[in-house]
Amino acid sequence: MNRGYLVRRAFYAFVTFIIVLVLNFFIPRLMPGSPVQYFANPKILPSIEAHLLTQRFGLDKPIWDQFLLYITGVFQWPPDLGVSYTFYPAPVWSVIMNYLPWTLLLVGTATVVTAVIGILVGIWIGSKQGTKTDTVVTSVSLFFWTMPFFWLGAILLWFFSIYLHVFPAGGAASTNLSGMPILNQVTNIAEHAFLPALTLTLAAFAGYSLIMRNTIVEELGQDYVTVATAKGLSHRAVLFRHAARNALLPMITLIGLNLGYVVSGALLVEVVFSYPGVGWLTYQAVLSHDYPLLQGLFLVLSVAVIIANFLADVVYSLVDPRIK
Amino acid sequence: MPLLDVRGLCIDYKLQNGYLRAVDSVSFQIDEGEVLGLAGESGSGKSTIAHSILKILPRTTRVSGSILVDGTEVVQMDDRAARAYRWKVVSLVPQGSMNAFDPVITIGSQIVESIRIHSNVDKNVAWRRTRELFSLVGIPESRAKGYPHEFSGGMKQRAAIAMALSLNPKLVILDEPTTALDVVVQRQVLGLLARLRRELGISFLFVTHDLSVLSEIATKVAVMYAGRLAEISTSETLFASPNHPYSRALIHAIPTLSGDLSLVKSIPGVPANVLNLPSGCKFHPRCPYSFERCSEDEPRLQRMDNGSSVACHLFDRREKDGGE
Amino acid sequence: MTSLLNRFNLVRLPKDRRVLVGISILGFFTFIAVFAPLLTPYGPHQVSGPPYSPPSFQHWMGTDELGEDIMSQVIYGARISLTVGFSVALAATLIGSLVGLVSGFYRGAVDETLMRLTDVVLILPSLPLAVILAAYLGPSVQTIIEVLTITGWPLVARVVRSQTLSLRERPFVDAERVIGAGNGRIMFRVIIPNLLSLIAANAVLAITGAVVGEAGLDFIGLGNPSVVSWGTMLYWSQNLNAILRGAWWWILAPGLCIALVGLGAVLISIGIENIFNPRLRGR
Repeated sequence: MNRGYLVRRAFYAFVTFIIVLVLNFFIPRLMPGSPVQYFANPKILPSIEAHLLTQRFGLDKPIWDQFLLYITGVFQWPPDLGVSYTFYPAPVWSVIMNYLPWTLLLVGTATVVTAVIGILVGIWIGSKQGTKTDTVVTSVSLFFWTMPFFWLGAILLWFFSIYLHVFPAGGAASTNLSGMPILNQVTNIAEHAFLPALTLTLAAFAGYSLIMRNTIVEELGQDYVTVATAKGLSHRAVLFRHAARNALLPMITLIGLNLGYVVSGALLVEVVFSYPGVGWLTYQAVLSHDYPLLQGLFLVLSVAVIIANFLADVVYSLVDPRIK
Repeated sequence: MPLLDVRGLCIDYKLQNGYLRAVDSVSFQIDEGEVLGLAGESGSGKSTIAHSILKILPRTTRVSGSILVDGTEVVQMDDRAARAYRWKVVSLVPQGSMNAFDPVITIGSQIVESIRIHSNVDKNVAWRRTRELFSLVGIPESRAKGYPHEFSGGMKQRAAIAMALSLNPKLVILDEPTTALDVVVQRQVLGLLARLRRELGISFLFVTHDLSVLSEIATKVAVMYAGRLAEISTSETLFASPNHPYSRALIHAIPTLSGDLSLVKSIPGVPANVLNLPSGCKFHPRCPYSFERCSEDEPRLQRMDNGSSVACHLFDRREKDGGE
Repeated sequence: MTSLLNRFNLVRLPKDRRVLVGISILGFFTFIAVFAPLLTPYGPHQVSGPPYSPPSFQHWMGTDELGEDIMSQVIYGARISLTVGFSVALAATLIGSLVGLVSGFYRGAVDETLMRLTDVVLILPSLPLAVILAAYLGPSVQTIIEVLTITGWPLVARVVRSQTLSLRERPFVDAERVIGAGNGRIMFRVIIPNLLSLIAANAVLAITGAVVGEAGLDFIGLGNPSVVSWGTMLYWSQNLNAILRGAWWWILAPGLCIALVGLGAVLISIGIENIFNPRLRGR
């Protein structure tokens, strides 16, 4: 049974991947005008280069051949996703790989912290449902959740960096990073990542806490909680040993689902903090109409989210005895 | 000394704008080895009484009166004492035994938990006891490490009973234990309960709306209506010659397998709405025998010659003498 | 009006304090959007003061890098931001509800196909998808509306489908079939009315997502920078490094408006939802 579930989820992830691949190929080609317009930006490349590009991408060949070229490009290592404009002649793949680690750091930290805080807050207010604490905390969480991520980041940046000078004003690390001892390197990176991560956490934790709260309230109304209390368990034991464990299960899936949201948020936050990750890269790509880079980014990010969701499914199957 | 002595129990639920009296001046006793059936429609207050004995009503509920369990006063108990008291002398098989168990923990572990909350016994000892309990209720010991979803409805019911017996209580409260079961399984469970009573001398408080089940297992029956006791008497007396018009109607509503074919008589009107109770006797709008006094004065429980007690003006004695 | 509210179980709505707050907020912003020219002495593109000046008597929210009054921009910007917000919410909810309803009601192959489609859009990170679509469609307000609608309908579809599925199994649907009702009648007279409150709650909630989404897309450069909206204001402030210059007022106003509109919509949506789920209202 366990196997069957995972196989189904894996197949599903794969199908999604194929769809992403196909979409990525067809979107530019469905737009009005010749694809070359999109691939050859005359401001950067003179028309001679456009001709070379056409050859390289096979833009004058029939669609099917172009598609094959594209697919073979993707399914090799390192994947060939074209050449970026802003970083010409660097291939898109290596450009993305240069910037990806910082984003992974940011998103990874933010996801973990947000989930932990969100879940704990959710349990806390779930057990206090109906009280003033509940109303206040829920309202505050909602307020942070509905506001634009990046605006919050800008405010935090202004307040802590510019006004108070407590945190650096941008970037992922100081330029002389490699010259520092390891411990200093770590603190330096942490300093730079703190505000962006804080922004993401504040903005996203409500996504977990509100749902966790509702789930806890539902679980607390279940019969097994009545029995657990009747057995003589303390309120806290009932909450954590029983209600929370049951409420956690859907959270795992939620973490996977929220990942897309966190990634999107991270992109914008990076722009605000000039944090050199793929978000900042996307911003640059948009500004300079670097379509190959944009397409590469879309592909890479989507694949990352698909994989993360699949991992969440795996974890879920390991933890829920009903699936075993 | 009776095992359970309830006197003048009043329970009020907190609503948004005030309190609602769900149980009004209820008194009854259960002696060792007795089975008291607490019968009534939904909303009559029977589950509330059951929960109050274990002190597991919501914190906002107001309870007054006296509940003496084996000589100990329960109503005024503080939290700590309550936790120690629960499950040891009185335990519960809840309404909806289908959900009595936490779905993500094995049934055996939950029974072990009930044991280890109250004493520091070794885990192995607790597991041995759990397996003993399983065989006591007729479940194969090998199933002890199974999850709730792996058990059938009848087995879960037995497992819930097993868990209720884990600390050798003197009184087990069963809240609608047969409601969700088909007749065949019902029979098995009732058989089990009878056997437990014979072999272990346990008393039961059997809460149900199904009088026919009580006729099989109860020694004494208390009929409730709108939070008040309508009648309380021995099982034989009640089924042979019910006094209160409500009890009479309930018993006559039970279709019989033998005897003459007769129309099943239902009780006219709708069950009392606790938010808007009638004046005087709460049953009077639906009672075929009501007279003037019924809408003015609420009848009090009075003892009759045959040992039963009824709260009905039809049976008021010596009213002209002003006595009871 | 009351009978309409009554019919759809929304009578309790106006009494809920949170909902009232939400409605006042949205009402306020709609008002200023509609009556913009009457509310401010300056035009949004009118240079009326020294650049980068902090809030003052003549310019309650300060000025931008060209010396244009920020408050006027906020007020006029409300027009675009709210238009985008409302249109996207409406469009996404309509499309999503339709898909969800058809999918959940007819099931079978139709359901499978529609759901696969929905899932794909749902699982993709919305911003990269939006970026790539908008990049090719060209920078304009219309692009933003289209893109946000495309990324927004799947969520509604899922929710509506799941509710439709559960409604379908209810006894009163069976009762309708027994008396000979056809699919059309069941759908229109039974299922849709029961879905309306859910749809309404989602539609209002979608406003939040749309307004924030518009800001996000503008911020990253995919909108039309010459149009004045809250999002483009944030774009310009970022592009010109307003923070580094300490011009906090430029960032504060538009973002605060977005947050407030979002909050207002969420409050209303929660109010509508609480009617369905009394358990959440508090013991």
